[in-house]
Amino acid sequence: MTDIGISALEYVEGFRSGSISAEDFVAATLERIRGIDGDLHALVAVREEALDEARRVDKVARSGGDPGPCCGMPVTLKDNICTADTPTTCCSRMLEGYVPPYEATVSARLRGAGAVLVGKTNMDEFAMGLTTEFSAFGPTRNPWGTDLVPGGSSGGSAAAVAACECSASLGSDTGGSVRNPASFCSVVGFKPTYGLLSRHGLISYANSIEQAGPLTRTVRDAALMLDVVAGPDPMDPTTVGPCGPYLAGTEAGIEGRRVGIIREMVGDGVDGAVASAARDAASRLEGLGASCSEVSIEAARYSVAAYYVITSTEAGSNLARFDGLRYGAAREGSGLAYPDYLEEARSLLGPEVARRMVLGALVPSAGHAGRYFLKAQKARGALTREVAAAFKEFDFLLSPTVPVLPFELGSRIDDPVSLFLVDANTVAANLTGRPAVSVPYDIRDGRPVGVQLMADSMRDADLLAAARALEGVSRVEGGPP
Amino acid sequence: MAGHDDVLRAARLMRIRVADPGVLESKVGAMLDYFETLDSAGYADEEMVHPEAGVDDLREDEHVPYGGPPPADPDRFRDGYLRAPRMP
Repeated sequence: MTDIGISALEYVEGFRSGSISAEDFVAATLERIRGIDGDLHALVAVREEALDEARRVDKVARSGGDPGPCCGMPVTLKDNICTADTPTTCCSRMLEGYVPPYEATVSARLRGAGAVLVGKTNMDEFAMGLTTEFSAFGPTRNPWGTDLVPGGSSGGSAAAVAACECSASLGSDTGGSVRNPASFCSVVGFKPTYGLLSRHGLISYANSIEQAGPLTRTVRDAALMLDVVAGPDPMDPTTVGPCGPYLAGTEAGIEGRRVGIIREMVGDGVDGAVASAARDAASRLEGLGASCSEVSIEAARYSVAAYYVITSTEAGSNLARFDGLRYGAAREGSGLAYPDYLEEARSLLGPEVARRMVLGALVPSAGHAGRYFLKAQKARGALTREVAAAFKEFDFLLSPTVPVLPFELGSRIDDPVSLFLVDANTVAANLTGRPAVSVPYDIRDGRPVGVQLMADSMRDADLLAAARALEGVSRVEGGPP
Repeated sequence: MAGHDDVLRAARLMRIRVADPGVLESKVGAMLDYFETLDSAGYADEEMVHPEAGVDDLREDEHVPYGGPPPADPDRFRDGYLRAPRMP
């Protein structure tokens, strides 16, 4: 029987040695999806044609060709990454059934490297949310407890990786949307330096902040994914790099490195079990030869407010394109004046997206910009300055990924500010463009705890080596029950 | 602070249909209250971060004709043109 719980790299090694065929592995993965996804709802589209694509990979290998570095590895993509042969809906009624006319660069690179796309994953509508409860197609459940949220907005990707519905997934991270669900589902989630991965074909939410990023079962699998998808893209002028290779350096260790524990992220408002897990992780890194001490980043206290002001502003602009004419689903419009038709078309948007659009109209407006938007931009500037100063003293900054343990579905959905604070430890990396990774570290009360490491810009390869060291001393044994 | 009328005016500007103004105002109001924490940050003298790109740094704009098959929805496309709803 095919063991689909192995890491992506173990699959690749098995394929190359001839002990695993892509067809068997993808078939077993599709069987797993059929068996478990009714309970989890991690996927919103399943590609049965993946099996034919896996057979083609086997055929290439049998004929002596090179099927690419992913050689038939089954992957999933968050449903805001455009795929020219599979619907891309952002889990919104506004884009239900929409098949893009082009492929996102990250998807094209991944599939061009021989990965087989088995499905698209559930997410909060247009990536606006932290629990995947705001999907128009229903929530995803956490494989560690189906009454728990999986985190979000890439909750479908994290749940799919944790439950072995794929070997790896690509999500997107605007304020922690890769790292937060990675922490809640006990998988690895990596948010690269801003610009390292192309955003061409990633449906926009907040352009100045968001990045695609891998979710995997091991750090080395994340490095493999980066080797395939990272690097400049003429279709996205914000791309930078490369700063790899990534996989080759993952065993460099953390000896002699300086790690700063961010005081504001392990103190007030942080669950005791989560804070103690982060401190335990720091002490284990010291055991590997790192030196750890506390560092204060005072602007982190204001980062969540700044983040939501800035992202709402960008979201209001980005989502204004969905008018039911040029973008988005058409509605019956006979007899309606244009403004009324717009209102009819936008009734397809869910309540959280509608709220963010209202905020996006309000906070940068002439009467309120000074009160909200300009202050948020200044807070972002202060945060950037303080983080840059911290990286003069430290190689990496450490904190819990999320300040709380995974919580029950529905328990916070009506309290937007309580949900905002789930992002408290992750938004700093996005606002400052730094790379950050969540590594599974412990299980407390049956609920996963991830520890986050952040590095300076373009130090993604070093960050992966540190994350690999942390993974080596993790207290997590095995996957979900 | 932005008030009830500001929230509903912003919703009208964004053409968002408001089924229950009380719920929208309450949730957006809670978010705006939270944003007021920026008032205590004391960053009035902080420099703004403005990434700058000159026009010479931008790539050439290029028209790339769509070469794929016609979209499948026959109601929305006719003779190669997108059909929009008839509106007064």
